[in-house]
Amino acid sequence: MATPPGDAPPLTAANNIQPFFVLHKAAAAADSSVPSSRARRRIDASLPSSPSPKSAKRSHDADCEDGEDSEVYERLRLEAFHRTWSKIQSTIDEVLRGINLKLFDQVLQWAQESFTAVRAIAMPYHSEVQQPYPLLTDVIGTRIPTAFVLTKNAEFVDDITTFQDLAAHLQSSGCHLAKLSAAELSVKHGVGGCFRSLLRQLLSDVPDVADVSALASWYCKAENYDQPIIVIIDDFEQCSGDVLGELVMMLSEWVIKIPVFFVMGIATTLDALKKLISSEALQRLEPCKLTLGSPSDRMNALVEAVLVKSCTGFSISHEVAMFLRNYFFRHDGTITSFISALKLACSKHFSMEPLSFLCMGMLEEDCEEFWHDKFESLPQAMRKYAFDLPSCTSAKKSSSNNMVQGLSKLLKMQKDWSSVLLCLYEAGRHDKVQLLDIFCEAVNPDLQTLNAPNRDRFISKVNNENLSAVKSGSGQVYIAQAINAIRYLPMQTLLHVLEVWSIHLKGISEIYGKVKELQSATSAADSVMAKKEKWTRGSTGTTGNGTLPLNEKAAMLLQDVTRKYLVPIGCLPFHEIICFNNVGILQSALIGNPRRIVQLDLLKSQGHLKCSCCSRSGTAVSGSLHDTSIICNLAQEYGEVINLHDWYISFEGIINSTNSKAKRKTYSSPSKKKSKSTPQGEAMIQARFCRAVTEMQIAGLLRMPSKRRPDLVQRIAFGP
Amino acid sequence: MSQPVTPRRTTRSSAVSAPDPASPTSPSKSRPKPTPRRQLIPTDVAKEEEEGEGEHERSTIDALLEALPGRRAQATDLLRLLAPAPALPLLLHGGAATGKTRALLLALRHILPRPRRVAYAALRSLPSPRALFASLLTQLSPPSSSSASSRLRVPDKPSDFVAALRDALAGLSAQGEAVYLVFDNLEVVRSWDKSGQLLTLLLRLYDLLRLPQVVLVYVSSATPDAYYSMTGSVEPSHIYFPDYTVDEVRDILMRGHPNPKLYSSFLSVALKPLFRVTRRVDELVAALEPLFRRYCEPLGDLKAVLDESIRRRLFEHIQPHLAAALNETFSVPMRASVDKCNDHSSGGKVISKRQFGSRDSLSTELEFHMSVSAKYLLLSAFLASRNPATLDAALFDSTGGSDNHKRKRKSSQASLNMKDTMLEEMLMKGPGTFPLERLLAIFQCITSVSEDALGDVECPDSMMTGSGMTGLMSDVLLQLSTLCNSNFLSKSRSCPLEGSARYRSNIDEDLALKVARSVSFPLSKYIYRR
Repeated sequence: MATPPGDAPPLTAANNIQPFFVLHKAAAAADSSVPSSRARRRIDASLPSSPSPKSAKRSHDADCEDGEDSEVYERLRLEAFHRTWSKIQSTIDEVLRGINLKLFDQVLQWAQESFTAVRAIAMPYHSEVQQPYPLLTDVIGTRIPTAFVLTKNAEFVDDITTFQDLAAHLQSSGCHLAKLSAAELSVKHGVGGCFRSLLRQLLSDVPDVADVSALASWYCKAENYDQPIIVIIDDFEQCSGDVLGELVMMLSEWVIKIPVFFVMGIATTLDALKKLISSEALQRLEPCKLTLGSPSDRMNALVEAVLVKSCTGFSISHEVAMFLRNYFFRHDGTITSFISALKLACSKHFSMEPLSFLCMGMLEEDCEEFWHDKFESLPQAMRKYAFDLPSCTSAKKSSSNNMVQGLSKLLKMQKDWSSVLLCLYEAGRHDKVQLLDIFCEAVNPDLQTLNAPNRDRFISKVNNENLSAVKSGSGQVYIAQAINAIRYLPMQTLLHVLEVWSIHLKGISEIYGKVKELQSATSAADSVMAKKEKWTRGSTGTTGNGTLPLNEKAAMLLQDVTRKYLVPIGCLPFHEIICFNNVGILQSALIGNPRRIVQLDLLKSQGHLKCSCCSRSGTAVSGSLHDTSIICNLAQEYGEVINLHDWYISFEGIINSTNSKAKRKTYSSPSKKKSKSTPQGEAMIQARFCRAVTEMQIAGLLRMPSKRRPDLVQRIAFGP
Repeated sequence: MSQPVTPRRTTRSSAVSAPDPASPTSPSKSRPKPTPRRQLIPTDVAKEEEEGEGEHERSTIDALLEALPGRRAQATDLLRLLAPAPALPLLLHGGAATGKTRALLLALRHILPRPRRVAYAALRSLPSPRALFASLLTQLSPPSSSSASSRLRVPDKPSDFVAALRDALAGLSAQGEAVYLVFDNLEVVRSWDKSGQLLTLLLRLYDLLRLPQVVLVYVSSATPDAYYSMTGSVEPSHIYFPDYTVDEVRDILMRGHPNPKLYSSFLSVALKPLFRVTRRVDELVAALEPLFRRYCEPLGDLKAVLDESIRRRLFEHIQPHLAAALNETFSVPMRASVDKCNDHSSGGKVISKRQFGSRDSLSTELEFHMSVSAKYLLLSAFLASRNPATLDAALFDSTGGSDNHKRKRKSSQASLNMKDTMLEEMLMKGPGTFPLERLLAIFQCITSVSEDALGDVECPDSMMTGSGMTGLMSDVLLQLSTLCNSNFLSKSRSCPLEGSARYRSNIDEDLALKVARSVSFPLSKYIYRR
């Protein structure tokens, strides 16, 4: 199922964020047994000459105690990052694999069934398989079994790994496997090129002339014969319909002899099929529809495993959660980018928060001892820093001067929080509430303040109408919805929900008891009701009356628990240590606005260069600027279209004026100056102009002149 | 690689040069066993041949006709035209799934004297002329040297091919026996590049080879008119395979069915309406199969006696499904298979849930995930394709398109007429193309209009709403490429006059409305209508 060991790691964006992940690479390479990389380098250098490297080192250490300290902690933070992230990563992998496995098994089952079905039509002998003409069977119209896997996400990135895993899964179960990409199924390669690449993946040596007979003779070898060949086309929409259609027609003639089945990934809807391939080719497919978990399902699973049940010691603040959620739903919509954003947040957290190495304690067996050790050895400055954390100063409680206790309390509260959150989700999922939404509300630090005054609000039943009113009013939309959902659950589902609650709430003993109580009451009521129903069949009024109080009780319990235990992490002292808060960094890293930034930088290049020559000139464009910058500044004076000639003239004017200034010549009329400039100089200016304009084009700020209007260029980017 | 085609079982097994581990020694078994449901004809043929030791000609023809229902005339023609070599070239033509290849292969098995060798080239499974040449030459080369000849140099040029073919054939026909060259799916060649050249070559092979023992057979679903490019060469004789009639189709479908009574009563209900939609037997089979399964559903025991009341009940049961199938057979019988896979997949919960979604076309939910900004971009692309560019200003002015009716009221009869013709024209033209700038402008307009609505949906203290616009605008080009990749938009090559790429939206209104509903955007307000 997993990619075989030794294979290159699967190519995902999550593994591919090197630009963000430069976080002290050199230090990571350093041996952890040596105190610091710098020290080791020193030792290495001194080894050949100095007979007593230790003394040398000691003296050095005395010199740079502070530097050493910070390096030690930096290294610790790095280690903490590695450990935390690897934990998160493995959790993510596990979750996604679990979701995919269901599908994979379905595909495998489908493949085996189709294979039996095809073999039931005829069992051709090897010699028959190799004959060029079709086998005469009594079955009319042979069709290729084809599984359409609906990936349910218009964005394709997430599914690349899914299909890779699927391929590995099928291959490990003995199927022959080939993958065709949209690039191979393009008009450029044609069906011949596409078939050749199919052969190349199956046969060890592809003959000069690739046709089906080569495949047939390969398939007849004893070791290949008794398994289907499965061709995975993962991005169906991008394939050329003609080529795919031809391939289908070609293989469908052979399907009884050589069982080639297709697995096609469809990102959008099944309508894409009809749009892409001809009906004649479609008739040759025997389709079967399979679906992947939708991105929001996957997201729920991920959030649950990584952010809610987090025993990893890393969490995100409300703003970051909101940002990630919005980014997911409004911009990108891929799990891959969500994970990479999370990774980015994680790495930023560990690189910026000095005390973040303490997160590692959450992964230790005995976290208190770990924290105690670390706390003892903390230098004074860092201790002070810890107690000066805003959460700590605002709390002003007696316990807050003990960091170990504070952290333990944090951990405990966090655990309670997550179990309550899961209970909420369990209730809310019956009303299609997404976990990410609840999560975002539950980490909102305002939750605590909101809870107190609005105590009575949710006791009253919330109908759908005033639910929307609540929605606009307070921040707790989804939590209210989840609690409300309980009231309308049928008895059977309620029992199940209570079951799940009792699992989640095991840690909180007093609530656990209440849940158990409720559970027994519910099951009793259920049995009574079942009896009742037998007697008074059809009178729904009584059953309705029977369920309501219990549902109400459950809702009350959930509300109570929510109020008591759903303490957002942002309200706890020392939360800065484990909680990433800096949304600005994340935002700038993820939502770049490159064109705008390029233009701004070009316009305000003085500010970046800080040179002496342009500072005094103020608003006027100085000729000593970079050419592209001048051009860009000049372009601001025009509207949508720029007259090239005018533009050039003003550019030339600026360049010439600086030249003249530089030469300190007497001022004379500009016309005279122009006549003075040598043709070589003019050619130079023209060349510079051309290059600058080209650079603008490359940066995407303007479009080159069209044939219709050769003297005008068009601006694409507007506004400062 | 090449096996001589020998119709008789005895000669076949003896002709297999290398003892094949899978091929049985007993001749009667060398064909695959008949499937329980339908019998394979060849078995019958083989049996018959074994029984009639004298190989009575009458009986072989009968067997052939038995195997080819509704093709009596064609079969006799085939036997007549194929048998006496030297024979003229032969062209079998007729629609798809009319039994051309089948009739030919069976006839080749029945003609006397036995053909020495048949080289069969299905042009559909040969991706290039070179593959065709290679395939023919390997089939014609003697089997003993087949392993060596697989390394044979494959001719690239048609002239080389003709020479090589002549060499190969000369060796064979020297023994005085007929060699058949069959070119199946000849119509495929027309879509190859340099098709004219190759077609001429294939059709003139008779003239080029001038070997009396070689019989050329072409099979094509296109009419002979399609190949009238070569003049002066010998015209092939034609055999036309017309579409089957209803009765013939019924006969074909009934053959070897395990439950003939039930199936015939089913066919009497279902075949006629479907036959109006398609006459292709393979399509009919595909469409009928799931329907028959539905038909049997109410019956506990398939062997039960069918009386009139049961029949009526079954008819009422199948009626709605039949109506649905009539609409679908035309395009894709997707449902059939979904049902099927539903039937035999144990974990079919997911599928069955989805199936309802696909079944009722009125399902209002968008079936796949797309980010909000991509949805807006898709909507703006739809609008840009759908509305004439001249109306943009009116639709997207500061009032946000709500003054639709005001504009209409003002318009005079003449302008209304003009709009009518314009609308008609638009419908005829289909979705229009638009430049990127127009798309972005519309995108900006509709996102700015619906920003308030968005703010309501999002959490109020979201940081994005403050800068909602820039938030949505940030990676529009990325979203655009996503949409292009999923075929919602198509990007044309750059326009030769303006030098910029133009886009076109490929989505239909249903999908656009679904998308609009998912972001609660009032799309219908913006669609230009009369």
